[in-house]
Amino acid sequence: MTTPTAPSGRRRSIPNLTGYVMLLPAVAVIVLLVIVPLTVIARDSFAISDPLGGNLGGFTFDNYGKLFDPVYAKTLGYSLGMAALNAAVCTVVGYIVAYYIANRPAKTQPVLLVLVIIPFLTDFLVRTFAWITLLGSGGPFITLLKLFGVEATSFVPSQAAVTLSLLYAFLPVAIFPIYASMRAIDPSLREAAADLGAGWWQTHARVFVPLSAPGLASSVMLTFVPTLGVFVIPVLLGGGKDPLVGNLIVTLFTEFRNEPLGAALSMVVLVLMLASVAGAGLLLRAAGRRNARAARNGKEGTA
Amino acid sequence: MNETTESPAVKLTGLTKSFGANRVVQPLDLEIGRNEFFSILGPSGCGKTTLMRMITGFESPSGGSVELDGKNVDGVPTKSRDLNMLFQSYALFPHLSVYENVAFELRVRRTPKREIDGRVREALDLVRLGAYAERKPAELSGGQRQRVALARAVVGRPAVVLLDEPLGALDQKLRKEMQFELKRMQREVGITFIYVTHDQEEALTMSDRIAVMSEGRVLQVASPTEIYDAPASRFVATFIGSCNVLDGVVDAQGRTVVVPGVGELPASVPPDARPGTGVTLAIRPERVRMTASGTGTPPVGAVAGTLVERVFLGDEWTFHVRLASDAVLTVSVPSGEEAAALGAIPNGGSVVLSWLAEAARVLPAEEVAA
Repeated sequence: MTTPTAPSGRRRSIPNLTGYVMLLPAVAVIVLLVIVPLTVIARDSFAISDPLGGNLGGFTFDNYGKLFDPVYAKTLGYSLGMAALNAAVCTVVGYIVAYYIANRPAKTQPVLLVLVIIPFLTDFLVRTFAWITLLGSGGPFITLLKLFGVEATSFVPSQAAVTLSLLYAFLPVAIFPIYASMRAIDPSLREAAADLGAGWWQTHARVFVPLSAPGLASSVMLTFVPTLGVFVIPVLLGGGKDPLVGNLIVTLFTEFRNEPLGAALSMVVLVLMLASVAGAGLLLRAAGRRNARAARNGKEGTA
Repeated sequence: MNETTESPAVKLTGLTKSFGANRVVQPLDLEIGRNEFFSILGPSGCGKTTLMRMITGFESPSGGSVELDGKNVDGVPTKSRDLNMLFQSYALFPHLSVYENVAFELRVRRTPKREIDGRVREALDLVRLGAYAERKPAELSGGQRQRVALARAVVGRPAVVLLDEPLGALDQKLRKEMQFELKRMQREVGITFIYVTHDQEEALTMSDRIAVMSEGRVLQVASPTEIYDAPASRFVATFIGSCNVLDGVVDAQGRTVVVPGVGELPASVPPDARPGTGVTLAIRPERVRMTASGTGTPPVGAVAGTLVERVFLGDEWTFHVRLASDAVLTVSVPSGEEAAALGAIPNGGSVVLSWLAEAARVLPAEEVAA
């Protein structure tokens, strides 16, 4: 786009410079709030700890070695399991809700979406406490059960309360990406599927699930990864009996005052998160290639 | 036509549909025969799409019933009706190849696997897309997508295929080609086609019979030639092809029609028409003969007029002639020596129009909706 008459150099370099200047705040935020802390944590994970909570510096792999202790490994495995379960439940429920919303009249859809967002405007901690009231002794849930003659005192703390509250916390994150890909689907495809003899199940299995796959994949990632870092819910609703890896990190930093060990565990979680994102990406790509190959092979490629 | 003892492919009895207070389809009866190419023709908003959606089961009727092959299908879901639809948007599954789109119904209906391949290939060959089996719909042109949709609609060998304005999205040239293709395919597969369109030319060229609809009512059901030559109402006359219409009254003898300001005009007045009744005279432009005035003796019942405009359309000339009553008639003359001679008449020149009595249809006078 250079005009031949422009006096060379100077005038063009000015917009370039402003571009960089305008990038500066963003770069500063990322460097100061992401890269610097991460570097500090990464460095600390190799540091030698002092039993009194000091950080002696130096270089050792001991911290990572300690993580192989069954206590830590168990928590890590349990966290991965809970995260996978939560991601699966959120995605399934999110799919149903997103499908419902996407099939409402155009005018009601925004209203329903706002209803999904509203809980997000409240503090995460407050919402978690709300669940204690709802599920705890004297709460509406217990009262309801008593009406049916079921003897119960409180659901808090319990594993079920943790699962339910995790679903509640991450459901909106699942709904939005699925809704986005659902909305891009031509609504006449549903009628076409019905016209070609597909019932409810077949229509979803053969048309809507494959077509909303990108949204489903985002939903899995967006719920799986943050669930690994949750630490408030297991304490408040699970009584701290089954800590997630997030709780363990908090405990290592605050109670055990072992910064290097906490840093090492943080690094492991970070790597696991990155690995799962990468793994999901590879799976999606492989599925895409398989589809393409199936399409090329016509009859042979399909089951 | 020798299958009169068999039940019709589709039979509609008193079928009607209202959305709230708005009655979109007035109660109507219709029978569509087996292997028939049947068109439902009408302007947009006439209720033809709603009518079709009631046959497929996408809409439930407000009253009346639908019978397919002699069986009442009220309350039967779309997926269990022995018919398929060709959607206006084609509604191909974007994540599936052409092959898989066509195979969809067979897989859903659990057709034996060894049968599927043969039938899909057969359907793709029918629409001449055998070489495109592995493509995705996004890699095809509009015309090809339309063929895939058609292959998908016929692969399950339904009794009836409904086509919702299938040529609307195609360009003029492709549309003409597809008209013949559709007709050929319909004959080949021997399936009843119900073709919904607002395009009178498509309906005329392809159909065995046409139902003309307006404002939720079926105005006439007849063969294309009958619809064209013997329209039952002013709406049908003017909607199908172009047509000159003049308002007048039946004369005292009940033989001709008197048009105010013009005089007596030759017309095929039905024997039961009472003298003095208001009627509409409908004359097709190509049935009107035009001559320059002063050349030879004008035929009986000829009308004098002034040439106001001429349009050359390639294969024919169209002349607009103003009568004494200020009504303007259209005359079309196929290109040739005669047309060339008439084309030499200057604008404002006097001409004489004439037609045979049987060319002028007498229709009941109609209140023209404001």
